[in-house]
Amino acid sequence: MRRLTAFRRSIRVALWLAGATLAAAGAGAAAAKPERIVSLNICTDQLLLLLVEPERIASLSFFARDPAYSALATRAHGLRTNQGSIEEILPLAPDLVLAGTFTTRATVILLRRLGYGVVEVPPETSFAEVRANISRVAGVVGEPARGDALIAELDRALAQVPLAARRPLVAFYWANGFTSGRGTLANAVAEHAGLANLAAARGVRGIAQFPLEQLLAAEPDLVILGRRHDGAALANDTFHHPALRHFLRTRAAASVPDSLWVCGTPLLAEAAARLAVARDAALGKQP
Amino acid sequence: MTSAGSTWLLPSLGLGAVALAAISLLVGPAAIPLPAAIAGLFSGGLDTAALILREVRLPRTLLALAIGGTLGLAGAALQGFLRNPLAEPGLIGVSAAASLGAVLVFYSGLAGLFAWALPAGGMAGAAAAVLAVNAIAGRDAGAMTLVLAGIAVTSFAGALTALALNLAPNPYAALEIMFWLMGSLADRSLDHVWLAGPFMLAGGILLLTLGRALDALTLGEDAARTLGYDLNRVRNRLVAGTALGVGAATAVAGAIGFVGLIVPHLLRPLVRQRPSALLAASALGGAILTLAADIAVRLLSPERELKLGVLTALIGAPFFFYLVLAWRRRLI
Repeated sequence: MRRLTAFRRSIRVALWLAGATLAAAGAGAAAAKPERIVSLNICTDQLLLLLVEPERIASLSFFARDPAYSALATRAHGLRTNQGSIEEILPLAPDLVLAGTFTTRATVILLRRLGYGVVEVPPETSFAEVRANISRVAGVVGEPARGDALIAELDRALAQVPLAARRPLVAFYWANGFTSGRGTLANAVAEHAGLANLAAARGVRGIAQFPLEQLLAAEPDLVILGRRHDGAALANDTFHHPALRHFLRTRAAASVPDSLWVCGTPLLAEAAARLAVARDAALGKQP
Repeated sequence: MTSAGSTWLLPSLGLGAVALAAISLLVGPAAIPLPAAIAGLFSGGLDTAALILREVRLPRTLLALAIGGTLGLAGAALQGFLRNPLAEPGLIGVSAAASLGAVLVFYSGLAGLFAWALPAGGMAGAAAAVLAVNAIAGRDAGAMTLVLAGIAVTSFAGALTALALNLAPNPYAALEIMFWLMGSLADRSLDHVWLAGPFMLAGGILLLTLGRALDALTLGEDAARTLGYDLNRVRNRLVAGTALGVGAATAVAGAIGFVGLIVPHLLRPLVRQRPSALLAASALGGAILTLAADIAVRLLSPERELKLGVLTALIGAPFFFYLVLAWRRRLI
C-alpha cells in the first residue's frame, strides 16, 4: 500500500517534470532519466551518491563532504556543494531537486513556484520507511533496480546482526541531554540490535531532552553517548557531569558515529552491529 | 513593635530559605522516597539515590541559594549606593556584561587555561558594566538616566554575546544564547559550585560591610562625607563586591534578571527603609525567590525545562510595570 502510493507519487512527479521542462515534452519524457540532479539535504545526498553516477549529480548539500555526518564524504569530494540558497541552485538548471521535508523550506517553495520538479523526502522513523524512501528516490532518479539492490543489501546486513538471550536496557544520551525515543531511527536500530530503549519505554517521542536524574534512576545497562563536537559549548558539558561519570564507572558505555545512522541507508545495519557489540559488552559487565 | 518586626525578620527569612532548600532537594524528575533521599545525602555511598541527591540536586540547590543571595544583596547595595530604586544587576547591565565576559572566555577556549578563568571573565564583564553605568549615570542620577544607561549596556553586551556565540565553531554554541541571556540552573554540577562559590562568598562579605556607609548616604553625599565616609572607597568596594558576586554567579548560571529588583522593594518596608538592615534581608530574600523560582521551573514543565530567567522575568516584569505606574501616580 505504502509502496503503491510512493509509486503513484513518483509517476506524478515524473509527469510534472515533463510538463515543466518544455524542451523534453516528447512522448518518452516520463521515462527519461534526470541528468542534473541537485540535493539540498544530507540524507538525500547519501541516497543520491548510492544510486546514481557522480556525473548526474549537479550539486549536493554542504554537509555531504563533512565526514562527521556524511558516511560517503570521500565520494562527495570533487562534487559541487550548496548551502541550500536559491541563488546557488538556479544557475545549475537542475532537472530534479531532492529536498528534506524540514530543511531549506524557502528554497523549496521558490523552486516549486518557478516550475522546477522538487521531490521532498521525509526523515524516516522506521526500517519500513527507510525502504520506502530508498525505492521512491530510486524511482524518481530512474534507477529502480539499484534501489531494490540497496534494500536487499540493507535487509541482508540487518539479518546478520547477532541476537542475544536478554534485552538489556539502553539509554541514548546526546549533547545537551537529548535522547531518542519512539519514532526515531536510533530507536529502530536499538530494537533491531536487541536492546530496550529507556526513553521509548518512558513515552518519549522523537528526539527530546531527558533529565539526567531520570536516566540515572532507571539504571540502564548501557549508555550510548553522543558525539562531542569541536569547539567549546555548554552542550558538551553533558558528557562530563560528575554524576554521569560516577555512574559510568560501573556501567557500559559506547558511541556510534553519527554518519552511520542519521540517514536511512544500508549503513544502519552497521550501526545495529556496533550496538550489538556494545550490548554483549554490557551483558558481560553484568554481575 | 517595629523593632520586634526587624528582629524576627532575619530568622524567619533564614528559616524560609532552609525550608525551600529542603524542598529543592526533594523535587526532581526521578522519584526518590524521603528516607532514601536523606540517606543518600549523608551516606557518601555511590548508589543511584546518593548520586542523584549529591551530584545533581545538591549543586542546584546550593547554586540557587548562593546566586539568589548574591543578586538580592547586590540589588540592595546598588539601590542604596546609587539612591535609585531601579538599580539592579539585571536592569543596569551588570548581568549582561558578566554574561559577555563569561561567553568570551568559555567559547574562545580560554576557560581551559586555568581553573578560575570562567568566573574571572564574568567578573571582568560585571566590573566594566558597574563602572560604565556609574560613569554615565552616576549617583543621584534620575531614574531615567540610569535605566537608559542600563539599557544601552545590556543591549550592547547582549548583541556582542550573540555575535560571539554565532561565530563560535561548535554547532551548539548559537543555541546557547538563551542560557546566557536568560540563565538556568539545569544540569549544573558541584564543579560549578566550587568554581563560583568562593567568589560569591567574598563578594557577599564585601557588600555586607557597606551597610553603615549606605545608611549615611541616605542623608546625602555631603552628610556622608562629614560623617567620615570616603565615597570613592565605598564605590570601589561596591564595584568589587558586585563584580565578584554577580560576575561569578552569571559565569555559571547565565544572566538571571529581576531578583535584585523585586526583593529589596518587597523587604524595604519591613526594615523601616534602612539600607544597612536591607542588605542581609535581601540576601536571604533573594535566595528564597530564586529557590522558589527554580523549584517552580522543575514542577511546571518537568520534561521541557523552562529557563530560570524566563520565570524570574515573568514575575519581575509585571513588578517593574507596577513600579513605573506607582511612580507616575506620585508625579501627578
